[in-house]
Amino acid sequence: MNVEESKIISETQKSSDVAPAIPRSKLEEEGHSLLIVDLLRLARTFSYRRYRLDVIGFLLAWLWVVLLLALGYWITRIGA
Amino acid sequence: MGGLSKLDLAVVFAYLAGITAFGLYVSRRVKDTEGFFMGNRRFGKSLMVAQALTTGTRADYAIGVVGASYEIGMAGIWYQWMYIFSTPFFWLLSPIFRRMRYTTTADFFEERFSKSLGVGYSFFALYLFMLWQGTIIKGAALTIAGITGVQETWIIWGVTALFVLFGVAGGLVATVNTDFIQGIFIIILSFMLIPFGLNAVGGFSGLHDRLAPQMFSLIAGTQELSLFHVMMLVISGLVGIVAQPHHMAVAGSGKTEMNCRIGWCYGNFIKRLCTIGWALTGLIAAVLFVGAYDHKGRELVFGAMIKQLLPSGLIGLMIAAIIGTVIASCAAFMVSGSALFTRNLYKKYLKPAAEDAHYLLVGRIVSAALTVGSLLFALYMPSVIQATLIFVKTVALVGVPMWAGIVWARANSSGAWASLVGSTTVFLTAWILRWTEAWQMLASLLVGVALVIVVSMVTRPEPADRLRRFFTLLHTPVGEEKNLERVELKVAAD
Repeated sequence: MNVEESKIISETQKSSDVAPAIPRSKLEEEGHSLLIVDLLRLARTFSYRRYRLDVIGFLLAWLWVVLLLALGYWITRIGA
Repeated sequence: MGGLSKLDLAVVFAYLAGITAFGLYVSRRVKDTEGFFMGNRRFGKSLMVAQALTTGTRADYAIGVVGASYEIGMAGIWYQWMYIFSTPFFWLLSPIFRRMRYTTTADFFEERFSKSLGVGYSFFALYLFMLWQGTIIKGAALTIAGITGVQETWIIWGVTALFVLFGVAGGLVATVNTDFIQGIFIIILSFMLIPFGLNAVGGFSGLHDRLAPQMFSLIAGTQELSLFHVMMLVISGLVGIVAQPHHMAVAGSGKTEMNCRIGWCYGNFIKRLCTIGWALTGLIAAVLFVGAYDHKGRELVFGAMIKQLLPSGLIGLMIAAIIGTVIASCAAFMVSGSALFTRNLYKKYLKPAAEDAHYLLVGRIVSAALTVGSLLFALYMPSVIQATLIFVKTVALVGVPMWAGIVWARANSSGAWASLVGSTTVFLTAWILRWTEAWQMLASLLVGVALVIVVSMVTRPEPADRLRRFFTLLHTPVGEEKNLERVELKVAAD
């Protein structure tokens, strides 16, 4: 078990009082970590690099929400 | 058929013949249960978008939103836009579904919590599938009956026979491959009536001249749909989205995590766009059919618009589109339901060591049996909107323990059961006491959240090995399956 692996396991133990042994994931370290799965320990684990895909995609999706709301509003104003 | 020209009939039959032949053709590729239920997890981005769009976009949704907007104005859009604020979360949730590598949502409850919860969820989901299929069939049959004059019962049987043939023969592969076609038809369905309708009412300015200003407000302020009601629908929608039984297949059958993210998230954004078209159609109907339909009959207005506005040929195309969405959605629900029964009940508790071909046969038989159940629901269904609300409210109760299981390792089976039983009890009590729907939702969700936390804290945690298996899956991206081998975790082949 390497240092990084021990660190993640230790963090999980702290947050949950149980001991899921989580293998090290290269992809997770490079941006594929999941915000919802780590929600209760984000204060310790969050970095843009680690959650890059979630962060970018989530913000873009909210942009689409705003655009759709604006479109819905705009359609109600046509011809008013 | 009454009300249909020869051209309309030709369009309908050509479409149905083509789509059925295509479904049977692609069904030859289905060799095993993984292919039948999850499409072998090989769908690309475009197929995932199509699957998310069509399994979540149904003719009865259009019928419900058009009917609501006809009566209460643009705010009727919230009967479907209740999910608009949940949609960004689909981006975050879809890789979770993919990494779980489960076939059904019942797998989640069994692996994360206990066998009893897996079984309980399976029965709950079977009920939901039948309820939903019944709603879809009913909505489509009402509309087509309104256009053609054909007896509703005959349409129900005819449409059902088609999607059984389609789904039982081909499973998810057949369903998803035709979703490309269905997706095109859904967009046509949403927007086809608008130009004809606007022309009939004198354009957008004609709409404003003849409707009260509040009919154009997106902010719900009516007695039927208050702002508080909308807020609770949005919250319930987000809580329940994880527990909808077909979402394990819809969100988790992509080849890669990115395919799942783009497919589920943006397939649903297209649906939100279609919803604007449905609400606008409802406003046009409010001008064209002033006072023609009361609250109970308002969902008939969609069929009435088709009959009045569309020229011959396009009426047939519209009917074909409605039937197409019913086939796509019901076939997907039927396949997901049979997966639940076959894998989580039959295989585990009745016949654990049979050949895969046997389970495939059982899956197909169960698909047909579920359809019979959904037919019974269709006969006793309230309005389409009411059925949608029943679904949203009940599935949210199951969503609470599922969210807890994903984000909180300390959540356990006792807490999950307490949450389900407690929130259901509160929900039913509030319903009997005739609380408003918004208060029913708020009270039951609060009790559900409180119970899963408190009971989990005062009872023993799940065994460490169970938690290790579950969270290792969630922390192992697709493509790093070697990590699962290192900790001796066996999963379905990717």
